[in-house]
Amino acid sequence: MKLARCFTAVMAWIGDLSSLVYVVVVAVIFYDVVARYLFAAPTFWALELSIMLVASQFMLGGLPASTRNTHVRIDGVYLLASAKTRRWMDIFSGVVSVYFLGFAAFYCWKTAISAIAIWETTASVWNSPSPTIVKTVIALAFTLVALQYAVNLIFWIRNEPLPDTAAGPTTGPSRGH
Amino acid sequence: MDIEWISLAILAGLAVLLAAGVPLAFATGAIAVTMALTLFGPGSLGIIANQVFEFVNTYVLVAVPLFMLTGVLLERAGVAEAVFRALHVWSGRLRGGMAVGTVGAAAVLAAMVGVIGAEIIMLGIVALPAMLKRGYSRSLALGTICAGGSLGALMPPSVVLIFYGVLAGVSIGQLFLAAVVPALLYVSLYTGYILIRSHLQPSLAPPPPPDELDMALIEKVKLAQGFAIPLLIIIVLMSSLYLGIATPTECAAIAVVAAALTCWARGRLNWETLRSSLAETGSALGRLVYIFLGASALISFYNYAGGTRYLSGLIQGVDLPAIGIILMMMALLFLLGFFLDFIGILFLTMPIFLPIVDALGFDLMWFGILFTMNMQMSFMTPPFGPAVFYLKTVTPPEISLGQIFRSVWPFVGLQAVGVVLVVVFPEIALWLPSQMR
Repeated sequence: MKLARCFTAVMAWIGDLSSLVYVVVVAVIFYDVVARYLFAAPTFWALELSIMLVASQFMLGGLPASTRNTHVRIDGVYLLASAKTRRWMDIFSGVVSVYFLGFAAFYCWKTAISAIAIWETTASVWNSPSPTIVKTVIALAFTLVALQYAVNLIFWIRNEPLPDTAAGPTTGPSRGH
Repeated sequence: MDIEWISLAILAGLAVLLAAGVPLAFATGAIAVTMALTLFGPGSLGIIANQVFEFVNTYVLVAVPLFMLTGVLLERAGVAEAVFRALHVWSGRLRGGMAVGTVGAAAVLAAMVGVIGAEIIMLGIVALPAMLKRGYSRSLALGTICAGGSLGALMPPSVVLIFYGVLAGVSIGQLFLAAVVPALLYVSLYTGYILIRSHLQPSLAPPPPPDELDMALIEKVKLAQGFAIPLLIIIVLMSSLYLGIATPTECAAIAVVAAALTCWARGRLNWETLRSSLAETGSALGRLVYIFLGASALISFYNYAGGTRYLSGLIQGVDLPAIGIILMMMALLFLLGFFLDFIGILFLTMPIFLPIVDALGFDLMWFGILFTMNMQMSFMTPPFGPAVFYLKTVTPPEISLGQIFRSVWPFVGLQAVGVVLVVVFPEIALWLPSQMR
């Protein structure tokens, strides 16, 4: 169980860490705008770089919500149910989640591996390997989220609460609207 | 298997999985996988991988996290307080003036943030205690904040509009323009309602104490300075967007820089604030994106099974004039809003609705505005009402979730009136973009 807790903590950490890309993205886009208007020298890499970083974050950003099971769901019935029923609902939802995520991860790896095999690039001026990187990150993220739900499932089967991975007291209520 | 049975099986499966508390993203995804395995064989699952890549690799979507980050940073900066204080002293003499001031502050904040979460929380922290202290009726105060705060997802820059634009292939800049007048329509409907209601029932909204009324003009002007920074951000944002100086994504990056500077100017910018704002944004984004992944996988396999064609036939077979079909879609979206998140509704219904709307000869931009106005109701209706959940996180403990849900109905009614108005008079949405073309 120590391993499960450790894994959960690392996943939450990776998810939170991924959000740091926005510092880079804002800086890059801001620099591009300034370069275009003040120096009349737009960059050829800002666009591609920001899409690549943001796409990767989109995928890894699912990790923190997975460690806390705070993905958007309808909890009307859940809140009315008894503790015993809740446990079975949790286990059921864990199984369903792993089922989808497992298949998604497998087929995303297929796509990622064929991209890596030909080292797919954007064929733009910069010609970055962004497609290869993003496809790999997609497959990796699905795998990690699937594993996280498998770990959650262990906690639910053993009837233990999920480990608390909230990033300290300053983190406000989670929101997405 | 017949498409009727497939459709029914999907609906039943979805209902069971969602009721059992399976996250929306994985419930839709699991049904998609099951459908693919039973109807098309495992090879078809490769589509999911391509879809995910196509979606996350979209340039305009870069704007979404940045506008969300702007909202979170402005919330941390405490901008709401300055805006609210500046506004409500000016409307002090009106009956219900403080609630009107709240709606005004909500509209200003909405023009800077693209999501409702940050905005509702800001208003809940600042305007709710002020109204309750003044002796405003709880119901009026809570409803005003939920409705006003939800404007964040209609008033440009709205994240809902960005997602719609990506899906419908409509220009985000044009959509933003089209949303301005409808958002102001909501603002005036709310204001009118508050004024009339507090005129008829003065006990709902007690007047301010005399010292506030006697406040010298110079004091009021001083308070108005709290307005300066937000106003500047809005002007820069809107003008660069409308004059075509910057793309929505670039505007979003500029907005983040402006919000961070505001935070810094108010002495609230430190590593901890930045880190937690980023983590919050990143995690919120992750949840949105995974819902897309599941919902769009489901809808594409349904499409391959002939489902979209079947539903289009069903909808177009209804013996109604074209406008009746639009109203029927609106009613359906309203009903879905009770149970699903806007992003789930968007990706589940639009692939079916948009071709029909297009075939009927309607403007997709107009339909996008109708959708977004409709989703304002979905934020507030039980049992799944994100606006209410956000507000609950910052209300005093004696205010129950049920009480907040009961307070929103007059505003939901006003929103429905707004939707019907824009259905009947499309110019409300389409006039402004036509001026700028």
